[in-house]
Amino acid sequence: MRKFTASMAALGTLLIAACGGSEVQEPVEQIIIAEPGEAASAAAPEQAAPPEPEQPAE
Amino acid sequence: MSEQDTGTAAAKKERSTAAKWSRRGFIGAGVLAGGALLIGVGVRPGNPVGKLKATVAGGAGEELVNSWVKIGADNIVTAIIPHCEMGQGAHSVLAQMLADELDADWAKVEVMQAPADGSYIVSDTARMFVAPFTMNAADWIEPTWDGLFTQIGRLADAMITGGSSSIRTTGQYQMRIAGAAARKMLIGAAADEWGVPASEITTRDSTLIHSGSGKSAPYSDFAAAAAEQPMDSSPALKDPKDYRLMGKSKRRTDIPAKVMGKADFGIDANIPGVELADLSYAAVRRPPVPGTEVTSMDAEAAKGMPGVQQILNMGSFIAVVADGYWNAQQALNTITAEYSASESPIKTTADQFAAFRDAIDSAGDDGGEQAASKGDAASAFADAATKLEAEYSAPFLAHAPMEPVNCTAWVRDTDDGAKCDIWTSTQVPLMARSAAAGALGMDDEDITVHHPFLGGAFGRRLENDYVTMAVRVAKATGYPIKMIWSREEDTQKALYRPADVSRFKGGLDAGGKLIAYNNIFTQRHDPAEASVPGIYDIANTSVRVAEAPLHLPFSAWRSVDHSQQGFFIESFIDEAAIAAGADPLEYRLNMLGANTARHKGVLEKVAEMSNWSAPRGEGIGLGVAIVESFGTVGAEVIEVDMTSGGPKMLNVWAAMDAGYVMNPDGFRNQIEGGIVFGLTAAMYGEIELEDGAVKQSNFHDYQMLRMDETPAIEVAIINSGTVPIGGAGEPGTPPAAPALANAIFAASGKRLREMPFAKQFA
Repeated sequence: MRKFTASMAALGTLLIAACGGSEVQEPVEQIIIAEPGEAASAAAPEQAAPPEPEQPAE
Repeated sequence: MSEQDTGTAAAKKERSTAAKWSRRGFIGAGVLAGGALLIGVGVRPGNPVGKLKATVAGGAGEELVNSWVKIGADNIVTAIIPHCEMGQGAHSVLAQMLADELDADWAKVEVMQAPADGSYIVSDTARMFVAPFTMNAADWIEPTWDGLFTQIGRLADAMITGGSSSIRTTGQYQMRIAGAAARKMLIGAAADEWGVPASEITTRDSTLIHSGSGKSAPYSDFAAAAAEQPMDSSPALKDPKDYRLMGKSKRRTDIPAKVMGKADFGIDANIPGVELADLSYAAVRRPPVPGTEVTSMDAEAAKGMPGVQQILNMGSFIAVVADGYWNAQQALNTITAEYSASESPIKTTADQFAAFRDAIDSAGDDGGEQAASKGDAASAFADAATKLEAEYSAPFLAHAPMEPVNCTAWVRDTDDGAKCDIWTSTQVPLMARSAAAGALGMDDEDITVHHPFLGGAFGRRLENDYVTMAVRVAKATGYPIKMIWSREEDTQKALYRPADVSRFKGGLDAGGKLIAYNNIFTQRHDPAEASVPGIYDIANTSVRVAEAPLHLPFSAWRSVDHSQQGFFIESFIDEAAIAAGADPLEYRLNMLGANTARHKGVLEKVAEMSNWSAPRGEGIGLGVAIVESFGTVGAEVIEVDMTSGGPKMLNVWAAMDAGYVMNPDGFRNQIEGGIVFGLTAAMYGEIELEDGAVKQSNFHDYQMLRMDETPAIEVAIINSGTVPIGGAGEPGTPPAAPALANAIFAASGKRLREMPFAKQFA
């Protein structure tokens, strides 16, 4: 049972670390100097082709 | 390299457990669409079928994908793999296991990375990690465990690659069953069509064959009909003597694209519709001391720098967004900032180690948390004929993956509300999604994670610190950004393998037998058993953990606690052997406790490989260490030449027993890599503290083992047939440092109790 408890605690630690914080934080200071290229507002990624499968092994 | 043992004992054990592996209840329904047979694994009623289709159905002629294996109209079998590919070769071996049970033509097997979707959780990995004792449960309780861990897996976003677990969990308990179930459905469909008993149909190379009638057909001919067949959630699995792909060194599916420069890693992310030249890049800088914030910044110089678009003080970090990474980083370098004061009393490496020693001193002879206890270690020590006391230490370590930390993010408003897309190298894509959702105040389902190949990880990419930073910058800018950390940023501002101190008191009886083992240290994370010398028969054992502050944040690092504990324990055992006047390898063999046939096997094998008993020349010595980790028992012998004053490693011999190895070449590759990783840490790895910040910054002062320093490595595989089978990614690492330290002692008489070693000979 000690091992089980320790394992659960370890998983919990891992998950908490992996998930990071959940607090929404806005910038303290934002200096806007220029806008990026026009193309940055192009097609949404939903229109993208899915990843290609890896090649046959041999 | 020695050939693997495929003896009858292993085969019998493998056979005896096949029935248990095949009774799992996680196979859902076959789904037919567009001529493709789709076998759902881990797909249960209520799964979001429609969403998966849009995500993974992209090949010509495919209309729907909702599974981990599909058979296309072109007779191509595609294995959809839930684990990431970070160089360890898991994609290939998992496909190999599925294809073998399916009797697929390996030349026509393709691999696809499963999307970050809850349907692709690896519940058996979570189960192995949390409750390994449930892995071969009785029939009556199996559905309960399976269902419980499916729910836990979903709640925990358990789409995770770590713990050397992909092959031994997902491969054994999911991919093989998926392949076997699909094969049975295909046979059923052909039997109906041909009017012959299913038992008379055989399969080979993605072809159905009925010898009696002379009929044969490719799987694709029966894909549609097979999907209408009942799904067997407990298909019979192959006997090892019938393996055609498992146990063979099949070539890796990811290598051609990598060799040709066509493989996409996270840092290669391109946003559809955005010209590469138009993409914005973010360079970031965190405060130098953990736990502190940016209180002010002076960005006047950066404002006029070429290509700069935005400068942001995000509180916990500064970001510069520009038209290219170089311009962003150059501008960031000109920004000066003030940071909040750290509350940590630890400013230097000396402070950190003093904190460890204070905690151990405060615990005294019986304080701290008891991690293991047997007999009366204190009394046995007091009465011992020979007493040993030793203190070992290990430093903080960085992961240093080759691919820099990066994340591309786009947060935008759409007609369906706010959406976010992320492209990143991650070991935990669903946790990355949750972390982004938390940082943005969005729902998980509004976030899509694209996760291509990883250019190394070693545990670094189990963390999502960089994901939350990228999405926060992307939200602030309102347009997509590719955030790339400099090497300096990742070396100095990441999460680390913790440093530690471990103190031992050991007592030997008059015959030299170790009868008292009293150990205390401060860092215990995972696995829980890493600090327990359980393989040895020691009558009186006490292992305790003293609580101590840790200045740098913890992160799992290849082999986690075994990386320090392997060095501590196996160095101390070596000292006990020397004190007893015994041969260190014979001493270990004589100390082995109950249920250690595998340990005996690897020690005897590595002795044979290294010609252990043969005399070496003056200044040349052998050291041995044995560590069981992640289900694999590994013994390593290192030969070192000390005649030039410092250690020159000549040879490493490793004997590894993982129960059964699915791809010998891939296994050796991982063990060799793990050994080089361990030797790098042993010789050079050290993250130090100065003024509360990390001192090292790049590969010039956080050195890797060079090619010309790397010894010849020979790996022997022992297939003992033990189940569950063991892992490959991590078990090569823990024995490396103690074997080297013990070899240096054997060659020079100098006992190294602190890592790293190289600077002790400078």
